[in-house]
Amino acid sequence: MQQLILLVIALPFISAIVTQLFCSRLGKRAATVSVMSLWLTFILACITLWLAISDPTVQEYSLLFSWGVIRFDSLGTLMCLVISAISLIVHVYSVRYMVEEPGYGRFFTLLDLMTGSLMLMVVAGDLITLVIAWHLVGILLYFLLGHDARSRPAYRYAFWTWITYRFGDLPLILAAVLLYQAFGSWSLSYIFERIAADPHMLTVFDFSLVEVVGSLIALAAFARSAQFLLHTWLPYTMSGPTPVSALMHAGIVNAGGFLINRFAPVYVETSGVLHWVLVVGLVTAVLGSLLMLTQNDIKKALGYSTMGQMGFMIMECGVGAFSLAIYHLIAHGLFKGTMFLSAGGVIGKARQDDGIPKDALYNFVIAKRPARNRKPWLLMAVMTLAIPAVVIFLAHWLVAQDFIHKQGAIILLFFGWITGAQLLFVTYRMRTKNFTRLFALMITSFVIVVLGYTFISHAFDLFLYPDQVFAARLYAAAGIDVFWFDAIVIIITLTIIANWLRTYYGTRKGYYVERVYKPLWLAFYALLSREFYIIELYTSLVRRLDRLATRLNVLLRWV
Amino acid sequence: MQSTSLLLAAFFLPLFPMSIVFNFVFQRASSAWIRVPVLLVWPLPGLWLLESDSSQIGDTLVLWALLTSILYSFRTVVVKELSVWTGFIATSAWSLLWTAVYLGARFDDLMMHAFAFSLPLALLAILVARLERQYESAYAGVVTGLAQEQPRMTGLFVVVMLAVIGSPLFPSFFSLLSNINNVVMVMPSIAFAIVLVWLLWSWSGIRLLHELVVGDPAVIQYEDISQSMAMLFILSFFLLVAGGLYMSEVML
Repeated sequence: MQQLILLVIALPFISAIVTQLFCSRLGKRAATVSVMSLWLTFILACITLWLAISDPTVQEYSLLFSWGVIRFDSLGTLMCLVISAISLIVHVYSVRYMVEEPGYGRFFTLLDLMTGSLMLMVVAGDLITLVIAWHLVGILLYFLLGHDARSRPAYRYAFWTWITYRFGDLPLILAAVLLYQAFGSWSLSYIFERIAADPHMLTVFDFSLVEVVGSLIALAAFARSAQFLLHTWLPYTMSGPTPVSALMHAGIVNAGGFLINRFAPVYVETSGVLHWVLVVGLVTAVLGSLLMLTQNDIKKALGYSTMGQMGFMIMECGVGAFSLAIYHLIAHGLFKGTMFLSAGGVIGKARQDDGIPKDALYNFVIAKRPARNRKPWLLMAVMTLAIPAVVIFLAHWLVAQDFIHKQGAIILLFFGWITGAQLLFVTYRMRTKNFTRLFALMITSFVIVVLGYTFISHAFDLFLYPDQVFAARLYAAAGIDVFWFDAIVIIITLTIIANWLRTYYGTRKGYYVERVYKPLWLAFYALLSREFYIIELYTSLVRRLDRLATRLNVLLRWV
Repeated sequence: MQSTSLLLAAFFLPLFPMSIVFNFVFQRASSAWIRVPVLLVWPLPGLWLLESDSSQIGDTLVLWALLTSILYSFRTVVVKELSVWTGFIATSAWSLLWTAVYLGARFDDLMMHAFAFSLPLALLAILVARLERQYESAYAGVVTGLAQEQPRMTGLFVVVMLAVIGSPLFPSFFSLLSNINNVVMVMPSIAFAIVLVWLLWSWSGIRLLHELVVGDPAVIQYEDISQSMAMLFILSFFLLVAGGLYMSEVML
């Protein structure tokens, strides 16, 4: 039965061939073939996931030669289901959305090929298949983004995506050949076995092989998941068709998180790589979210939101919470896909009527009229800090009592704590008739979200990494010296407490943003509004390279 | 004698500045009937000359070959004349063959490496010659909006371009992968240089494609490539992919 995975991958490719061959004859009905095959793929993907849940044994099927191996495992089957579900939604949406566009059949061919390549990527059982699928996704995305061959902006930004993806392909290729040279096989299973047996057997350039390979794979993941300095393509690729944006933001961009998970047996043996992954992810999460807040274009704001979310996903890998990253990418994929697909409709409706009810939320967010002097500020500050901390702590304690020993889990708790505190602070400042009711509702919803998140992520952990020793070692690989960690935790905790108290006190006194910081704040806002001048920097670099190449050509008379 | 054969090899597996001769000859040949044989045959004498004694090739020569490859791939970034671009990419690709010879590759494998690059370039030369016949010059930016005007030709152009710049399943992809694989542990710097060349090809190739394919079509419209010709090209793509798969089995 596990061989069904082969059919799951083959179906989109077969559909692409049929759609392309018969699109002139079928006309608009070409889309029906594509959608039907995706329905079938989705159903088969559900069955294969069920099979993986009932029997999680890894199985491999060799298709062609020494490579072309398909791997049946929990991660691959789960990702297949996610890809087929998102792709199916995008297909169904495109049937009507793209009907007026030229190249209707070609669009569905490309969508099918993209779906097939993504699935091949997640079930690749050897390095060559993985590299090929990884590479194909970049190529197909370029042509999907540039579907409208009349639109120069679409192609310009598709080119940015292309070159960033190519930049990311090459470290993966280097990692693949290093692993092959070290172990004499392209098979992932064999390589992982050998690494587990003796992880520090080999060195490259005087570094441990696993550290070098881990760094190269992380670099490939950064490019694919739009991490800071490799992110510029993501918010600007909005000139492509909306369904492609949805597929890209909901599925393709998440590949970085998948790749790091796929190479978990490598990362578990590293000692320093995951710290860099954490730093890059953290910087991306913070800057992506800040940039999102400064956008006035809904699609660009969604683009930067994706960047922030990808940063958070990579950061989760950086703290050793690998399965949480997979849960995050699935949840993000579903909600971001929905947002993209409905963005056009929202913009259209908003042009006629903004439809925003003039309620408490409106007063707070749009009219910026926060309430003042509502409740005793000190009591509220203590509640704001205490309630989220207790809820998060208890929720995690319910699923795993030993979470306190995992440094990565503690780091993530801080994010939950700050988010919860922010939620309660917003409640405190909102104008409402019944404050107690609103406050209770906020706490209830927070408890539901935290419990849901904790239980689901725990289920993912058990499914993807059933070996709890391995999962604990992943956290340990991301850990640092206990003394320094405890010191950092204490400092951050005190900083958070002090700042929340100060914020509440300042709000009570009516100087939420102090005058002293205003010029500094404005300068920072200006920097944000220019997106840190990174695009200008790259443009200038490319122009200089172009000038140099032209000079060389003129000097050598173009021969 | 040895230095003479090396010098001759440097003409056929072009090393700068001898590469100027190949590019001069290639650009003067305006017909596809000349360009295609030139692209297919030019590197072979070089391989024959070097195959007899690969020990002649020292580190300096390999470094020179890599610099030539990087130089020509970098120069392609701003080239818009398709025939010039083809010549530059051929120079860049063939100079990479020096590393394969240096690592002691068998003659059969060397031939495969050479054809892996030459065959897609030969297909490109045929398409370029057709464009030159129609537009009098195949200059990206002057020829524009090809996708609107000649969709069949554009499709072929896209696939050929992907084959040239080393995209998966085409022989050039496996050739580059095999080169990197063979050299990464022995001389990692060479592997990084090949990776850089690969990136530059991708950059310039897609940039050129963008200029040529995107936009509104020209005022004077030309006939698209015939269906039978397109079928021949598609057949050759299948053969290229089959060749690529064979290469992957033999070399990886």
